[in-house]
Amino acid sequence: MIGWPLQIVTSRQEAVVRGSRAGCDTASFRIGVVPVTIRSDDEGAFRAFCDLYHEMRLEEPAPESIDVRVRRTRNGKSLRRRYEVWADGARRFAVWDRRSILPHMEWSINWHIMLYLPRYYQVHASALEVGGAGVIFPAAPQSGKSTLAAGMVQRGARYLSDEFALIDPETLELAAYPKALCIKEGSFSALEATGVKMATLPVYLKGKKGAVRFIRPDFLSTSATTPRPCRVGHIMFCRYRPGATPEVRSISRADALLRLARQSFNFVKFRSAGVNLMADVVRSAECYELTSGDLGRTCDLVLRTVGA
Amino acid sequence: MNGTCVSPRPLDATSTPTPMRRRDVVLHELDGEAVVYDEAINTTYRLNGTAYFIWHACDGLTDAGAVARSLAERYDVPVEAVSEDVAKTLAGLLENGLLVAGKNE
Repeated sequence: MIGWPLQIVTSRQEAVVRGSRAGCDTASFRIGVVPVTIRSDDEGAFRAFCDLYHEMRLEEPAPESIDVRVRRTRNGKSLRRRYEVWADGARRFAVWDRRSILPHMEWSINWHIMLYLPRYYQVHASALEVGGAGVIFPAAPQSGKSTLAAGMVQRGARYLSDEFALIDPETLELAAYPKALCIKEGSFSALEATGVKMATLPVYLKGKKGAVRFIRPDFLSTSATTPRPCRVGHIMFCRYRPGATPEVRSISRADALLRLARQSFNFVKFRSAGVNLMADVVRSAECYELTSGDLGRTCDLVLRTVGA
Repeated sequence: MNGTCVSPRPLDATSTPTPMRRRDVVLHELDGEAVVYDEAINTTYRLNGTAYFIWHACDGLTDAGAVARSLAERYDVPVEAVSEDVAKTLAGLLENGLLVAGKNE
């Protein structure tokens, strides 16, 4: 019998792994408002994660930390080596290629934010602070949210997240989750063209999404990770059209509210309170639809629109 | 058996001549439009300015003709120009459960 670690989960926050191999590395971080503890049998993935988030590392795990665990195992039949990514005691992914571990660790964390970070109203959006105002780009997957955020950060915007607009229901302020920006292969050249040295960054594999690279926000700008507390001042529902002339048009606040509801991760949990919250958000924001094309021209258009 | 068992009947403009807007929904008026949230079925609706006017006019005592007249007056157009649109909008609002039977029905 192949040595198969026995996993006993005693509670959501206390995943105890017995019998795992010696050398499992552990580290804790606070990525904005999201505390994370990682434990990994794979040293490469561990180091890569620590490199991305070393400035956010903690001495001790924070309370309510999301517990991400990478286990090196073997397939029961083929005995082929694989890596399982667990989060809070639940197996989320099993991958065969070591280059897939890091993206799936990130994916697991995002998944658990959706499930277990109920304090914030969550919109699927990239989020920035520009001139003291929050700017969010809600969009479906593959709409260029991360690429646009990277381009904006290069131009001086301060980074909050490329995946979640986390809105505090009490203050209506945006909370930061400044994860490394996850850039898909189709956007490598666009960012290269704006001066980002993409070729110096390792390539990872993110399932059907293909090759990705992670960019630390401070790789784009030294002031990227010091956003000021801000409310949402501008909402831009973005969609990418290759070769399109960048265009922005105003939309009504009622339209914006409905679109925000569609892009919300936890609308079901907030229900009428969420509708009230989003109404407050759109009342104090300018709302637009953004068609993005060339990255540089799109970012310039956004900056002109928000009055930066 | 006590009480009366009533089969639910689908609401339409014929069976509901004086429909009434539901009060148990979340309503936000935004720049003349409205967003209505029906928590019972977790569904959100956007009403443009005209649809909101029509929905708001449905107080359970007013019939479609009166709604059309007040809309025509607001936009200063002949009532014939809006009657058909009012009927369609009322049908849509009834179909989506945002209107219920009126006070005298």
